[in-house]
Amino acid sequence: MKFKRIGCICVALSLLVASGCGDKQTKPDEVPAEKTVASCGEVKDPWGAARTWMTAPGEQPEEVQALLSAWEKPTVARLWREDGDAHAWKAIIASKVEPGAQEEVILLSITYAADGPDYVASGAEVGSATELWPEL
Amino acid sequence: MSNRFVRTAGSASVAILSLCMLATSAQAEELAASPMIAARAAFDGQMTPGLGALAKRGATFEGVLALDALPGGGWAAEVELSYKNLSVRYPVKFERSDVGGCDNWTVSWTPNEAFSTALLNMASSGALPEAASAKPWSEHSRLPSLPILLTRDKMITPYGSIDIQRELAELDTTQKGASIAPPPTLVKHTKAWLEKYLENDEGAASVDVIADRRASWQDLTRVVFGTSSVGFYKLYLVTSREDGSLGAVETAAPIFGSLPGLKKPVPLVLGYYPLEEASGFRVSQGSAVLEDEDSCDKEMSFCIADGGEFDKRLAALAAGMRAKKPDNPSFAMFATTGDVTVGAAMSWLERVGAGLSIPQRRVFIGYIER
Repeated sequence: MKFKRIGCICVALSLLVASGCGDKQTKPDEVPAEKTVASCGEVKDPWGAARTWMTAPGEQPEEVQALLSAWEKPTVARLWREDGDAHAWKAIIASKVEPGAQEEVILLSITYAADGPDYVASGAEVGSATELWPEL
Repeated sequence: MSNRFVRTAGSASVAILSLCMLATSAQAEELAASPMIAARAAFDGQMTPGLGALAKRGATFEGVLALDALPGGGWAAEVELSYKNLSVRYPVKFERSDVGGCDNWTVSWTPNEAFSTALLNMASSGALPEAASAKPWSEHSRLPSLPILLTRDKMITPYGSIDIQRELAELDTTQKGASIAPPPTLVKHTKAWLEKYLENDEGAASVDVIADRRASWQDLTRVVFGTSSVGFYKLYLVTSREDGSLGAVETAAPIFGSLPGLKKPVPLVLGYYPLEEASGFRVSQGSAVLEDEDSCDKEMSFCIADGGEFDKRLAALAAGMRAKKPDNPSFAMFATTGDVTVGAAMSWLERVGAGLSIPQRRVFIGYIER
């Protein structure tokens, strides 16, 4: 939204001044490729930690490994803050965004790493959606 | 900023070049790789009228509290706002798209300006019911909830304001249950929340009631019945804690089938009646009524003067019941009459779970018709 507003000013001015902003501005929604790559997979927040863990979980208990390898496209179905200072988070990783109540899912614990401004996955367990989070 | 872009800027004037550079810089920022980034950008940019209203009042964005994937592809979320040293939950909705193989998150919905302003007003009004021991509102681990503001004459949802008396004047008062019938517009708003916000994900159906403590229990019951008629059973009653921060007491609508794992449950009912010099409680389970010859009133199981005494009574009651049947009571209902204020009821309601040694979420709220 912010971009669009400024972009419009730019386009409007470019109509007044023949030289305008150059050809690139004819496609205001296009994102420069290098920026796209730079911001992809580099997120250092709880969401990023969950996403990173799904692609590179490292050594995990057998049941966690089995579930991950059985799922075609594991996804973060839910993510929530566990404590007031935002150091502890949990995520439900499932085979789809809406897992059934009795379906096996992974409860991922995410913690704030004290030695840097990063969040890391700190534990994973398997259970049914309702077992792991009665809220459901 | 991209050098490539600078090269293509050609011979434009310095002023226009600067604008274009800003545009490109903002364009790069547009790709938000996580909901946390997208939420902060949306707040900073005041990208919706609701967010603009929050900023205008001085509320600041503190972070995302919960995120829930929805069946239609959207994401329901709650964020934490800081306003006058209060932590306020605020619902938003995200969309997630794929841009060149990367996630791009955007805030696709927030409540409107009127609701956003009213939420801050109510949260900071000092008029919320007091519940000293309530868990901080922002520390409940949960899915996003439908927030409903309840004043003495209005209900305000993210979809608009409801004049209670005007709507009730159009209802048939001779029908059974008319005294607690919800305003039809509240039911419409709840359905809209389910369909539009939750994309019909019924598992995430819960309600935050942010009520003025002077509002009547009758009107609170109208909220409970209006939302539970659409399947919203879980309730969080937002309160003021001892230190002035915001808390939330977890409770539920009296729809007993909503409790997983409980078959044909018979609740322990605590009926609260304000008396002239004490507070009376009539306790029953099924057809059995707890009687005490020493009670101040023959209709009451016991009368008490303060919370500490109430805690002791409940603990003794639960211990006696469990001595006969270990898993009884497993849940309870707190009920009172329509003229009692939310504030007066809350002072007892918040103690029921701890007093009976059951989770507070297993304490339902009910209504006593007089």
